[in-house]
Amino acid sequence: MTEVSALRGVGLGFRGALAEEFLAAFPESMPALSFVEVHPENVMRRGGLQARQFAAVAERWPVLSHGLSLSLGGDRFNDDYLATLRAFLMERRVPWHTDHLCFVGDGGHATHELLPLPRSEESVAHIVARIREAQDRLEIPLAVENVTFYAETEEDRLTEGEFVTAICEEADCGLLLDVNNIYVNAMNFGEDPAARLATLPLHRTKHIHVAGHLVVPELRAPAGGPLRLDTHAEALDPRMVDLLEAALRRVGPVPVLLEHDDEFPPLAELYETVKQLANVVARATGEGARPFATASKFAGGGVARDGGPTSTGAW
Amino acid sequence: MSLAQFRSALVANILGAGPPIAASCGDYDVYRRMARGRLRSLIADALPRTTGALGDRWDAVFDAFLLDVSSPYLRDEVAHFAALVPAEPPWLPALAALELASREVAHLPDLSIVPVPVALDSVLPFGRVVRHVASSYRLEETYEFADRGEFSYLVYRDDDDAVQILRCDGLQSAHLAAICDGVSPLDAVRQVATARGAPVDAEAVDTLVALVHALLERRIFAVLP
Repeated sequence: MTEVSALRGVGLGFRGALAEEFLAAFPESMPALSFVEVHPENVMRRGGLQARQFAAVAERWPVLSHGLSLSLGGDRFNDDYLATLRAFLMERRVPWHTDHLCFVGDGGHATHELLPLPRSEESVAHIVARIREAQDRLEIPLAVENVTFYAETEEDRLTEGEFVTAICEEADCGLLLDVNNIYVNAMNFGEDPAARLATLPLHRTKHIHVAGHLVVPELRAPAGGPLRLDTHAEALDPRMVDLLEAALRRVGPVPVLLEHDDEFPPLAELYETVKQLANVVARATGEGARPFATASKFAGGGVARDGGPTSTGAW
Repeated sequence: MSLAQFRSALVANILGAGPPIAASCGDYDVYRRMARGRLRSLIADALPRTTGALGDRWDAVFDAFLLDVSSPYLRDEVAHFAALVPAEPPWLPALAALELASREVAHLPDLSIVPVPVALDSVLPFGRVVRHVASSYRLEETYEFADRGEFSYLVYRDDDDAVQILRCDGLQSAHLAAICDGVSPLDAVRQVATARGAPVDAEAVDTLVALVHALLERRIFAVLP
């Protein structure tokens, strides 16, 4: 198995809905899949079938950890959660842990939603202190993910690039570069995605995420037009994949994760997208094996063909 | 608005009746819709019969539940909802408890590795009892009230990690509850008989034997106290 600290290539998220199909597969049958990523909240404090399935998958592929509940922008850490997370990370020997530049609750209440912080100097100072504390208590480096935001207040005085850069530099932490989030934010706020990408501290990138998003005609984006929501249930937008390639040319070879969290297609279909992404990684970084044969270049197999996913009518 | 004020206001708007955040651009209501939609789907998927039986009370119970949403683990919130289910009809809390127990038992850590006591449980040495749900009413698919006498369900996980339910009659339920409290099977018979003012007769012993046989046959207990 690949040393986790030397991870490259493309991974998939371990999700309960895919567990049985994962167990029927082996690294030899999916050579383009380099690692799996897990939400620790989904497997910590758990036994039973899904825990056994995750343990078996973790025997076959290196594991990266991506949390949902640290609430780095929140008011206080949950001590029990932090202790359980630390034990999990130690047991799994992951090289770093990732979570989001957001808060998920306040005053003891949780929303289970990634809520945006005002992009202010006060938020920077607050989250920098929290990242340092979390790294100390978890005894592991952190990489923080840029999130989507769908609204702003007058407190949002910093650009996204200024905000994320200040946090990563002052906290001396890594960046989990979510390319889909950059793309969604740029489109919702009427900006050039490549220009927005260039403002981030790309030299701190430890890890990249890509995902599909939902276009909701019923909701208006701040810049006008339909709102794009970061839902992780749709096919990849080819323009977002272009942005990934541009990012990889700047960042170099780092792990790239295909996030898919709902309305799961068969694993074989997701794997087709993994192969396509592996070819993008190889082309952009010069690293990787010979190109993987795919059905076609970003057509079908989980990648949108018509310029972007559309609303399912859920809104 | 300070960071603390912003956090408090947005969370109050999402979970409660707090006023919407005044956006200079875009609309924060999307977060309220996404958060509530996620939680509502979670509860509906986890407690389908309970939420179905709630009928048009579902919204009110859900709104009350939102004020209790507090765990770093999304799955834990189901228990918060189940605790708020009204006792009308009387069997509804038991139905919620049964659906909750079936879900929790499926994922509880293996007791031989990490003992995790939960309500009404007794963590026995190497035991595999993970939840004992008491109920006085049959839980009909039609949700119709029907008093069928005292009984309880023992929810457990079999060797394939599939959730199973063992139905126990009233006397077996009383014996089982005593056993779950750490009382030996024979002492459980005496204790239950004394509590009920009944003799320790052949029926009581036969009931115990049938219960112990069922538990051991299913390997619910590897070791009885």
